[in-house]
Amino acid sequence: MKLKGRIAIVTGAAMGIGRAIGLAFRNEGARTAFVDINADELGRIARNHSGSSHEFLTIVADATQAADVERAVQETARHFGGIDILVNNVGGAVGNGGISGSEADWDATFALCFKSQFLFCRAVLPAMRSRGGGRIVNISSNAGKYRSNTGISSIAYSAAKAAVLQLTRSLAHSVGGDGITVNSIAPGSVLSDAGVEEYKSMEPSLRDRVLSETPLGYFADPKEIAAIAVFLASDDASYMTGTTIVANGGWCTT
Amino acid sequence: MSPSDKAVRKPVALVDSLRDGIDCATAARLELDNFAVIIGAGPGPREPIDVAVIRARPGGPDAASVAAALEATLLRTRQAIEAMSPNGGQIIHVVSSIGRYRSAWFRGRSEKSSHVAQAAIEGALIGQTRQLAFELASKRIRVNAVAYGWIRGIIPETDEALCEREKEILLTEISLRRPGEPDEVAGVIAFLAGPASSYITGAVLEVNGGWWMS
Repeated sequence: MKLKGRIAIVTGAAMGIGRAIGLAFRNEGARTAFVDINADELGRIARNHSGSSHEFLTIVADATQAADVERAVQETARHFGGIDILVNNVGGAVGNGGISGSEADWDATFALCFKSQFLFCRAVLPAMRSRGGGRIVNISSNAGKYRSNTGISSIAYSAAKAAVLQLTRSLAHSVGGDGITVNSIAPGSVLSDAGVEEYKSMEPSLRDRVLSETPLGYFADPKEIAAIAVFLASDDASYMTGTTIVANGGWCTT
Repeated sequence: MSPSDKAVRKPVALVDSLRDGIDCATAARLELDNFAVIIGAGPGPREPIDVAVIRARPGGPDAASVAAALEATLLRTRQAIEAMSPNGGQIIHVVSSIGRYRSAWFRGRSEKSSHVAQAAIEGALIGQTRQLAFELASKRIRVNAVAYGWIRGIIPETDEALCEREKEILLTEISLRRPGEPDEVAGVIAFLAGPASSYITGAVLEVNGGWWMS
């Protein structure tokens, strides 16, 4: 078990990539807090996994609200006795994030994808410092590193996910002396709950084109992204910080 | 191959040589991860391999030795591809900061002290990584690279090669404020060698403690 005895907090953990990361962390021995705004889906996780020996916690919170974020972090630290790992996974496009989109939609997308990560990073740092180190993993996107491979992700979403990469680098340099590493993952198309819906609604010609542009020839399973998060949170990645791991099946490489 | 053969066969990892701490740490780590580890390329291993770890090797500064080092590096990759299991596998190219960024310290313009030849040789491995990832994906071979920074005891920038003042300045540029250990490079190589990196190909993973950031 790569994360035995560690304490982790995962945001946006009720569904999709976040849930896969939370469950992978539990399987690797981490005591994990699943944080999400969706109480129903969190309840389903709690019911489905209640019999297991691995300790976990579900917390309903809005990652875009500082008070909620502070409460989620404090509850996790109090319940488990500290925090070693943060995975900033929550994100998503809101409304029309195109260049003619409304200010409200752009603000909402940036709040969900980017401000949430700032708030959680700020909130966990004291707990990590007091334990002599920690691991932060920020989920960005292929759309934030290169561009949307399908053209479906909005400009606002892509720009907010690019901001995540710079938060990663700058914060990494700022907290490196405290033994805290900060890295990001930039996934390509993933068949998460939302990704499956997108996949189904895609024009077959677009789907075929994107798949043919992807050397590995398929869209990722959320577990494949979760495995990268486990690696970045583990001892194996102890000398990596400020980096972005692109997991896009080879769609674009630099 | 019958299912029972498959169950007993250990995956085979080729590590191209055992010249320094990173090679030794990598071989030890892959054995720990249940690979049968073969050392040295030679004319090609007799059994199919699942993983090949290929390091950039020093060469230069004269044209003939640059060409020889480059050819040797390309040949090792070609041999590894030919020896790869029909089920596919992973090729991992390992370069220093010189192949991805630059040397730690500038030492004047004399040909002897220049790292330009080394940059060209290591840069070739990075170029190969992306193109081979593209060409070999249909054969279920993933190709990725690891670029390491200041790792304790590793050439071409050994600890001994840096004076105290250079070390102090370098440490202020490195986010983690320390050099890395060979084990910490081996851990990243092991990640790329295993199933946890299944959706990653054509990537360069930087193991530099936050020195250069790309």
